[in-house]
Amino acid sequence: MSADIHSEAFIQEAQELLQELEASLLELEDDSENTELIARIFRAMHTIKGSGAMFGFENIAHFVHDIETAYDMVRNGELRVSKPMLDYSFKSCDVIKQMLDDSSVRAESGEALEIITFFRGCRKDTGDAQNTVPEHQDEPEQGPERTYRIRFEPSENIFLTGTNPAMLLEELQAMGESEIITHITRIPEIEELDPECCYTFWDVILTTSKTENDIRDVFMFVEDESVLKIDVIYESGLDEENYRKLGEILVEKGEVSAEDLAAIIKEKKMIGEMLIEKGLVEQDAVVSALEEQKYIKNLKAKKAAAENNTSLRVPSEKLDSLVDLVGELVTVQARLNQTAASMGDSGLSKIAEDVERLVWELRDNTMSIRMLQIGTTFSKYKRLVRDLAKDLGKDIELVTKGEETELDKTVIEKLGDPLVHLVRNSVDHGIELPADRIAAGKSPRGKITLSAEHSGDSVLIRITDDGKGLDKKVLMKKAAEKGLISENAELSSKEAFELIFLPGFSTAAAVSNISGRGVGMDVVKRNIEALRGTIEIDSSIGKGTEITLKLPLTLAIIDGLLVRIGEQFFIIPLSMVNECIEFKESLHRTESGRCILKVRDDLIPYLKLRSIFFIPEEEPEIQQIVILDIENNRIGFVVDSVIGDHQTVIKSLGKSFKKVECISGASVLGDGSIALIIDVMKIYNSVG
Amino acid sequence: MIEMRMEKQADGKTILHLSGELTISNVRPLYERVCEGLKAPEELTVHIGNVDAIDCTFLQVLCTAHRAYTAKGKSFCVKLDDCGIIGKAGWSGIAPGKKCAKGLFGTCFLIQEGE
Amino acid sequence: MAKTILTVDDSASIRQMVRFTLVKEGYEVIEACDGKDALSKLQSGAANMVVTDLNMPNMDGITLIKELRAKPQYKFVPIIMLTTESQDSKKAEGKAAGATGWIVKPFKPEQLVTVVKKVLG
Repeated sequence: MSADIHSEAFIQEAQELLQELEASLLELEDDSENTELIARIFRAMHTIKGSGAMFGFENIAHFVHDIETAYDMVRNGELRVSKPMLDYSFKSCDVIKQMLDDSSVRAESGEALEIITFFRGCRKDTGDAQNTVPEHQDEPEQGPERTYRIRFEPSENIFLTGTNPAMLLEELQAMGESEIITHITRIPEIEELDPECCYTFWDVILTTSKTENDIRDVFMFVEDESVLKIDVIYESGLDEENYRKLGEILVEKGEVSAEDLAAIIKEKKMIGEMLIEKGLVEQDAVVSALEEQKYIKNLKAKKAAAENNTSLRVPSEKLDSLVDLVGELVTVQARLNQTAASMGDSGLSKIAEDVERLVWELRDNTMSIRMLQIGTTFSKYKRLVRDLAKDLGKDIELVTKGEETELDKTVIEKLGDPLVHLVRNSVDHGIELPADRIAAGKSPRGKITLSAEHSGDSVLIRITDDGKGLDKKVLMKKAAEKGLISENAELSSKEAFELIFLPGFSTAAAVSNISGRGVGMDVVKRNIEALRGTIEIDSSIGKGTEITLKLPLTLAIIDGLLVRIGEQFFIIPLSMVNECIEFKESLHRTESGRCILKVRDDLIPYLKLRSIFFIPEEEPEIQQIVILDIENNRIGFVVDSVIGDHQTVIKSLGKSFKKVECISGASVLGDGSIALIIDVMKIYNSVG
Repeated sequence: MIEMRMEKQADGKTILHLSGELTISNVRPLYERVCEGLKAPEELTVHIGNVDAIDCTFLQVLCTAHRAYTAKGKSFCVKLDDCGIIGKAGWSGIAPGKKCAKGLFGTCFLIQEGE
Repeated sequence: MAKTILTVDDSASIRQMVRFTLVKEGYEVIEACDGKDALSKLQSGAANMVVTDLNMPNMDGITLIKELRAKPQYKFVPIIMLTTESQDSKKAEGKAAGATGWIVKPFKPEQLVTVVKKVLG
């Protein structure tokens, strides 16, 4: 979506540049020595190429490259403007226009190729022939875990290029476990000190699975001016007898020569002290080597402890494929049951039952492996709240509960963005400034609670704040202003709160940097629904707001209700199903165009899935109506017949079906036929 | 922004209160103040209060000043309200109780007198 | 408070992309279309970081970097230059003028974010 806005902006800009380019070329025809014009032409080509490559117009970038090079040469006086060059330049404007309209126009064919060939001929071979668009770098390979010693001596003037060496060290720290030793021996006497120079240098001992190149990348901008030395000092698997002796480390680092060391060792004293005493090594160097020794010793101890532990690290892809396989197995098992039942062989039925039991166990076990504690993600919100609160001048404490609650890994991953947004919202809009809180008789410190708990086959996540709460009147006024509801609409508090989930609604008077980032609550709601979850909001003025997310434990398998319409099978998530009743056309009545069904004393709106999915066959006389409970509202779906429970292994539909509304996936039935999983929320939302 | 405030105490010692952004853009005033104090018969305590950011230029000045004052037989110490701030800037390698490389053998400005 | 980044580029679509990408990351973004414009924008408001193109009319990126480094309040501010692969010598020239680092065009939004986080935090 965002890419589209950018490419549109580019197309518009390129068209303007082309106009300018044509005008300049016309002028250049009469005034071929005008450097100002040439510079302008070069710049236009340069921008078209650079921006083109950025926004997906690689063909344009590729095409313009040689023309740009030619004009660069003209600019530098290496080439003269000629009549054919101008002709081809005009033609190239037309080609670029075509390319803007039609991305399939290739740079290396037809007229484009002719033009490129001409411009290539213009310049002597400079070597860097075509290669306009550098290939995107591959994902960095994760190597085995190694321990590096990194010596970083920045140039004294490092601050003058806007670099803070501390940030580089922090970047290293983020790569893994580390120990930093600061060397201050080069800090001069106070009179000679230039306070804006950097005299400090560092040894970093870092254990990481990143490669040496990744480490070098950290110093990419400063490597030329700095001393950077990276050595591997420990690698798991390469087993060394013992951590190295202090003297060896110093020799390896070049702090002392092997001969001096040998001489010292003969005196049989503490090596470190001796070396310093004799003025052979700086104290710093010894301290650094001692730290290194200690670090490796700890590392080995930790590794030994880890080996005794029975837990095992497995790449998550392996787990994903295991889940897929179990899914297949569940499907095959259903087929086995069906076949066994139809053959009426009691021996086979017995085996089928045993297999079924084992498959369920296997399924549950596999699912539990994928479960992660949600607490791992909670910790990052503490930092988020702290930083945001500070920026806003608020005092906020984040309390987390239920960190041990387990959720499917995929759900946890996809929950990140919505949660960040909700927490930001609470900090930004929920909690008041300390002064306002005191005025309202509350403690100046606000409190946000993030909690998780199990509830049946779902997990409830709550974000609660003790802030100012949502004001129904303000919400409604805002919504009316934005034309989301009519001026005199009557809404319950709950309905009013839900207004914030409407696209284009934002409660902050001024769009702030923190929550007003173009991503609204509507997106949060969509994300949660994509996880087959729901979001509810409750608030009371002056007391605070509570948002509750209800999420399924797992995404891979759901309990579904299998139904049939015509020849097609559908699955409705069982957790939403309230009841199934027989439906006779004659019993229903229409009220103001809506289909309403009376069940006991309730009036329940219903719709026919047949018409939603455009299934042409005749309706049978007796149909079934499945009544669902969605966000405390009941709605009925009319189907031909209800077949029963179905353990549904969800298969995604693949890209070509991405646009299919109202279907969230598919499942394979025991006999190999396909059942489509109904996206109940989509249908519900589309009918209001 | 940096905040610097001097406080003369009855016992003749001077306390220099620092808070805010202790970073390179603001380091020069501290340096000049410390140099000035070195010439005067002054004992100095640098009190680091609420710190938003700190970089190695500040540590460099404190370190070299500590050396210079000590050489002249004058007291120079650093008091931290939030010991975490320098420690948190783990890159500094200088955290109370950990000290800089020099501190393990000699004296370091982070070692309080009597410690 | 949110950090402010100045994007300087004569290409409006690049500026838009930079703005879009960085605002999403919680930064504030101000725009300038060339070096001259950048200097005047910085007179009315301050920036914590500058991302500048090199090839621009009126005042190019290198000159802008030199001008900024001469100002006390921009002496230590990170400045990232946008270069193209054909401008290796420009990269050196920019560094000499005081640029903090560079991003090679074409770049993806994530690359921009990585570099900004790297130098600005």
